[in-house]
Amino acid sequence: MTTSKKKDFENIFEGKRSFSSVSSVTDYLGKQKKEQETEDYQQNQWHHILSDNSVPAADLKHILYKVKYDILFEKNQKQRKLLIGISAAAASLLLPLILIFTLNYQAGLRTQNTNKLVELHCPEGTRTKFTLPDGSSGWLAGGSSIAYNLDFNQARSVSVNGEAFFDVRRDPKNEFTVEMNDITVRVLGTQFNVLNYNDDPISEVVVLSGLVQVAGNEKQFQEQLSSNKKLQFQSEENKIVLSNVDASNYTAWKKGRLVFSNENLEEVCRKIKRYYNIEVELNPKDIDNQLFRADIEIGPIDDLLNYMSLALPIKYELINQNQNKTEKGKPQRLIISKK
Amino acid sequence: MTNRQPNNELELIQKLKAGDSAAFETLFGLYAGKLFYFVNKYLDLKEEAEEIVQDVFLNLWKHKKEIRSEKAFKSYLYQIALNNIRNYFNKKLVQEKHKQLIAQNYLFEKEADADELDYESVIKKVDQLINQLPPKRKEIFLLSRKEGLDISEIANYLNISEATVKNQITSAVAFLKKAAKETGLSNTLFLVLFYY
Repeated sequence: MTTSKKKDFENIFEGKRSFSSVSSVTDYLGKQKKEQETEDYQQNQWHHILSDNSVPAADLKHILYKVKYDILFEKNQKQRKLLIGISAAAASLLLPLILIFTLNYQAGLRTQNTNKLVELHCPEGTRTKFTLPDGSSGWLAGGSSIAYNLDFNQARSVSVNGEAFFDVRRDPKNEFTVEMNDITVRVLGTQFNVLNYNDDPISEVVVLSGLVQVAGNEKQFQEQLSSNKKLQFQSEENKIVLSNVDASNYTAWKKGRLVFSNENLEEVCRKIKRYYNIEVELNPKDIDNQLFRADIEIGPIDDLLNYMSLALPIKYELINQNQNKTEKGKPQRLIISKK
Repeated sequence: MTNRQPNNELELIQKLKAGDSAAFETLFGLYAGKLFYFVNKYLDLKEEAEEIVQDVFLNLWKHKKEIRSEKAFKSYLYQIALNNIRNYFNKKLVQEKHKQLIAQNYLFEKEADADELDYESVIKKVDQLINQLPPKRKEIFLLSRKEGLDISEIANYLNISEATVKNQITSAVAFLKKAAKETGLSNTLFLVLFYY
């Protein structure tokens, strides 16, 4: 470890984030270099912090809550996994937070070869991280599912119903394809968000970095999108809308945040429906097209509704559609009307 | 009384190994703050640092049975955190390496002190320079520098000729040289930087 590198690490620790220091530390850690002296130095920093009583306390209760939630969720899934009897070999293909997954042996009735399909579902009102066999990763939103063939590495192709974020490992020789109900997205290596629920005529692609190619499945259009571009396809009217957006707003959900950036009530309601798994009714349907802005953590729905009713001239009613408390199954119903 | 604390912790770790969630919470209370402090020193980004802490403790729970000693426990926390920090910087490097290169030369030309200027503000300045490129040119330039694609790959991908890609990159370089001139930079280093 040279003295200058040591100085760079020290600077970072003292909060002096100069160009040269951050560049040097980024280079060392980013290239996954390992020099014994630097390793020792970092380990010493950790030991120093462990014994330092002046380390400021941080409020991390919400993090503990998230960890506990993930643990509980995995436990439930494990029990479920046992019930549906999944082979251990297939399980090893998938990384930690995957929720439910099933192996379908598509009988070779229609096709010659028996393709083994891996399918992941993310339950409503949650989100989950996934990793694909080629090292690409991503997040699956609530109520969404993703499927791919076991021979994925030969042809990088997945199908998605719902909303997902992809961070695709770059491989110029092997295109990565996302197939959805109305559209298909092709990339080499990039980060982007896709949205296309099978029962919804609206599909969307938002690019965070790199370049993606989007095409309608009935060859209605083919477009190239670069970063911070959004393509929306309305299959009923056969119409595409291209716009410039702040892509990070569209991927906030993977961090458990919900961002509305000047969206009208109709769009807001669509999001609420998906993220909270409730039925939403706008009354009257053509309620004032007020634009709504918010950046909130996805928590109890009442928090959001309270905030909405303060910011917009609306009132709301939340109805539990189940007959008694023990009955579950029917989602809650939300009615939004004029104040 | 002095060795009450360590004994206590050993006990907690043994309880954790047995799957005691209260012990897990206590250990979280004892170490999450310090871990966050350590990670955030590197990242300087609260949300990302919190995500790493979350991942570390989730992994701790999953591998609780493998922890042998108190010392192993602490280095386990550290190792997962460090791996996560490395992954974070690996992504940052992919995203910002080309900007760092531009910035290095920019600062050298300006005879500005890279030890004095704040990293984020320098990168922002480079972003501004790149953003002045016309959209298509910017896209091709970034595909070549940021995504590391070569000319034939870009041509193939965008379905345009290699000559067009070359022209666009040349124009991008010319544009940036001009932008550099206007901000008071000389050409020489940009020539070196954008030579392909």
